[in-house]
Amino acid sequence: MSVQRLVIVGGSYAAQQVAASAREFGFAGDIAMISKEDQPPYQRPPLSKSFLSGKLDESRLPLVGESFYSDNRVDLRLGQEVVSIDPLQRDLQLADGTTEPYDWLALCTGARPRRLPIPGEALAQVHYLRTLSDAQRLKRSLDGAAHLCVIGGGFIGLEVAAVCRQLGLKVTVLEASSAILQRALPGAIGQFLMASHEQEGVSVRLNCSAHEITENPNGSVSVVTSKGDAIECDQVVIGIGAEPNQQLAEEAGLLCTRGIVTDTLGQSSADRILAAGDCAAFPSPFAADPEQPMLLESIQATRDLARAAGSLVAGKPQPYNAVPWFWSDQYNLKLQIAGLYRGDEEFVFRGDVSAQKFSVFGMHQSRVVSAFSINSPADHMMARKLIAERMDVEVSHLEDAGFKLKTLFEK
Amino acid sequence: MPKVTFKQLDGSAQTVEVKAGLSVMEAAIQNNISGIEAECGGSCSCATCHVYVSEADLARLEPADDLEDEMLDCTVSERQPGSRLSCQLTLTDEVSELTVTIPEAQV
Repeated sequence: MSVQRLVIVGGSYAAQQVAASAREFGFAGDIAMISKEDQPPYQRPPLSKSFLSGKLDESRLPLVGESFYSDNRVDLRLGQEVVSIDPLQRDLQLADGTTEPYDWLALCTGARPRRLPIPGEALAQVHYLRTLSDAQRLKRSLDGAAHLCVIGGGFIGLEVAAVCRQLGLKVTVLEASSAILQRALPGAIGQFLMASHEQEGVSVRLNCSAHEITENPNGSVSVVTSKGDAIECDQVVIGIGAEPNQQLAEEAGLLCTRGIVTDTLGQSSADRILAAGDCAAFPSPFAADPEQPMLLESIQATRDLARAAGSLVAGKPQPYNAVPWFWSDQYNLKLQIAGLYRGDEEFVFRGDVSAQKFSVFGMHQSRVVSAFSINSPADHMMARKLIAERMDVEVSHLEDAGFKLKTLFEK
Repeated sequence: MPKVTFKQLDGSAQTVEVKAGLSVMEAAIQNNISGIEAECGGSCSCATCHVYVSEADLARLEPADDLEDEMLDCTVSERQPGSRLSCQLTLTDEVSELTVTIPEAQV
């Protein structure tokens, strides 16, 4: 039998994890990783946190040590772009005109920031944040800036707001809806985070969207809002979500929704083509509808689906079966989320808001389906376990912060 | 440069050098040491960089803060008196040599 060849398109968490897992599960064939970016896979979460604040520099961002690629015989090809896939021929075409054959293809093409279609969005003072070069440009621009306007009260925008407040900038956040983080969190947590930002001196304006960004003669810009006023500031960060990079897959005829549709092994609708990472929509066993493919956009979902895809390539399929989890750091607040926010759950409160240490558990039919914790990592870790084991739990136990949830698992 | 020795349960050990200011977790990741997952990249959010530190070394390190202490209660491998999250252990010129043992499992 000829040597099998796995080609990975992309160069971030999913790409790196597919390669690592394929090897861990015993794949002995060739692996090529083709990435548009100029650097090997690196960590993205710090870009809006410790990298931006200056606590962590570029040298500390790579996901793995340099020798990973040679040790694992991964042919890492940076700065190269795949332009099309031919699923019948099992090959792909690169921008430089060459053709690459594959036996397995893993699409780890990620996502791109959603653009805000308003005049002035392309001005030099306006930033989106996704890649290291985005972060480097933003960091340089913040040097000497006095006032930052963030458009979008989501995780990235709020993390950038927190860092910039700590760097001493004046910060204004515009949120088009009636609450920050509305799609991701129960209202109680959103309100707590909003109050925390306001206490730190951030001006958060709800029900307020940006209509236009104009440049002023002194080099500053003005964000014209839906309220009719204009916010004069030095720099603008737009964080209004991400769009999956699925064009290659769509053009090759793969089934796509918002994201490339896969099963819990990362298998797409096309034979021998897998997808993982922020471009992949897959059924999550712990969602309200466990059949519905969805985009989770988290490190956890990326790594766990990529691991499953790697196991499939190696011939030892281990389907995705993980409890979703996520984290965000803002000021001295560590937010940890376990499970998925559904919207139909009942909430149980545990802890002490004034001490900035509490959790909100989402309950559905006497089981925990989600948990949102502030500075309460034990609650978070125990919630992950409760969700995984689909255990019935007494509300009174959850509500009592003195009750150690760990004892629920002791026989 | 500070040195860290990673001991595996099978008795094998690997010593690596890293810049002062980096964490034990980063030393592991940069040198592809197996058994340190570090899913959250070092923000004390996942408890997958658990290590065991000897009692003598423990005394030289800054003690675990409340968040780390809570996370250590939730590690997959059993918490022992020398349990720490390696992302919270910073190598400095004072703490320039450290030996840690990697537990059986992280996830």
